[in-house]
Amino acid sequence: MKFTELNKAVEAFRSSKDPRAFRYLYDLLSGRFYYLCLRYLKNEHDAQDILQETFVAVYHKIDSYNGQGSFEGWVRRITVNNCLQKLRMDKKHFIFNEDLLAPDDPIDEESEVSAIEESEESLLKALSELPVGYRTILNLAILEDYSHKEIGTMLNITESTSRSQLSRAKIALREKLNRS
Amino acid sequence: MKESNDIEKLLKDNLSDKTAVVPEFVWDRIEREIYPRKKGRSIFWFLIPGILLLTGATFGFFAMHDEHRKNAGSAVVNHPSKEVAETINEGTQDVDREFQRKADANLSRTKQQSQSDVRIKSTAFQGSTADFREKQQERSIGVKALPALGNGNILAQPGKRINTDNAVPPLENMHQAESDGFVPQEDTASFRIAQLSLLGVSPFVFPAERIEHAVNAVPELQKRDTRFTLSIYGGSSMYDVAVIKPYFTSGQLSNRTFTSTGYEAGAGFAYKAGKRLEIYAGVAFNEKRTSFNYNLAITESDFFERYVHGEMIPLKNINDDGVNSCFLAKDVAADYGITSWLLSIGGTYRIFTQKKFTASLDLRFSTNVKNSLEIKNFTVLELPEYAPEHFNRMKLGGGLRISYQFHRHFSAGLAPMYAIQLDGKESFFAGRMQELIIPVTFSYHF
Repeated sequence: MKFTELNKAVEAFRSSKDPRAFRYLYDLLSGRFYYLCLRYLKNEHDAQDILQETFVAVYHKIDSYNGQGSFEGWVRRITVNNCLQKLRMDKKHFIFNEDLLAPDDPIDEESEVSAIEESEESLLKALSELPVGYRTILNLAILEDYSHKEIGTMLNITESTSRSQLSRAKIALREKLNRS
Repeated sequence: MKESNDIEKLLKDNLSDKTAVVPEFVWDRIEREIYPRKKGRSIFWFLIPGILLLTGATFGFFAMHDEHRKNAGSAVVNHPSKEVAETINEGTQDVDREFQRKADANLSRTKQQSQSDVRIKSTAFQGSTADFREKQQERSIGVKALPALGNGNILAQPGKRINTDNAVPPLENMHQAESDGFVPQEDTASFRIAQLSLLGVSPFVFPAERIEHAVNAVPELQKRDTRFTLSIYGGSSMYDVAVIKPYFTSGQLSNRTFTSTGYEAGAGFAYKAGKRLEIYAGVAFNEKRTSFNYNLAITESDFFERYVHGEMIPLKNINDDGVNSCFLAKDVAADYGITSWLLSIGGTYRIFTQKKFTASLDLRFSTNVKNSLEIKNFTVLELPEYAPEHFNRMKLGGGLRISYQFHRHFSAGLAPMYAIQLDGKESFFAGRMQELIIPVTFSYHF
């Protein structure tokens, strides 16, 4: 997708609120953000609901996008917030279970190599099987590139908790991959 | 640390910037939430033609009824004296109510008088204008009731009396006979005269020119035999926009073919509102079929401009190898049909008559009440889901009607009309479509 395409489509939608321009934006972005939702939410139905909420919000709040910064980043933030909100509403509090991984579990180089060769599908599956707290922090810290400070604010935890939980989440994921 | 970085790399490489296929119903749900379906067309646009149709039908019904009565009356008008009688009939219709009221009030008194073979003396007033006026004042009720007859121009034809002395039955019997339908038509005039005399009103005051006019009017009445027209029409239509034509007229085209066909057929009801003016209302069915086949080059900038107007080219169907930021879409093909139901109101104004030929200006206002779009074939380009309200719009048309009256009740002709859509906002499909319809018309006049 060309950068100019998205920009022009955004401008067309902002200026005219034309439904067709919005549809075009949806066509350009929906697949990517649907995938993002799947990473956070585990099941397709929830991901579809959140994608819907996201684009409805984009439609209604387009005026609050001032054109500075990436439009995609703006939509991404809305999507992530909606995903987190969904997890909260489902009463899936971000409880980080430190007992998930036994401290004496051996981690050798060979298992690491096998993990690296994991396919996208199995990786996504392993991610979805992680506890919601680990899954969320992996998504936020690694795939969305949020800082620990930002993550702390979003999840209502301290920065140090965010860091430690990220480390544990990585170990948990690797363990999942090795076992699968 | 290395392990940690490897996991990060693994995640980013495999799960970052990926896409998944979104089920189509997600967009449907979004669309429903963002754009709640419009609640149909405003009833206002249905009411106008509806009311006009209803009014026309009502007029038609009563006019036919009235015509029938007049015809029944005029059937016995064969000579001047009977024409006068007919005129009296018409003139006294206005005083029927007044008469009825007074007649009822005087009925009991009259009954007593009429028991012994009441003879009602009626005499045509013959005298000077002054005498007439005096008489008129004395019988103001009658004069008021007959305003057309009270202008002082008295028929002064001594010796010409309208004899009403013959066989005037008692009022009671007359009422009964009339209600039973047994009163011969030719007796009606005498009966009315008798009724007026009974009330003390002198009914036999007729301005000469009034009578003369009445006499002369009889043939005119017979000529004025059509006020209503039922018409059917049908014919081909040509149109310019052809729904998404602007998309194809920009950019560089090659291998271009374009065909369009259309027709409109309808029926209408017209009322002759004036000597030259007719108003009408009708319903019509319109269908258009369009077929395109193009190679299309379009600039990147135009692409988005077009996109805002609703036309799309899926990116996968576009070659974007050129250095000049042009997209190239090959073998664009489109084949689709649009059907519409229209309600129309309008008017025609006759501008020319030569023997049996008539030419009239025609002005028509139409509104779409039901539309559908059927895409037969569409390649390369992509249309969003069709929304019927895109075609709900109004049309204003003007044209010329040329008709030939080949029978007293029937005529046929051509009615070419140019129409343009009134909706100011260019919509996705149609733009501001212009259309030329050339239908053949058949009309029945009554």
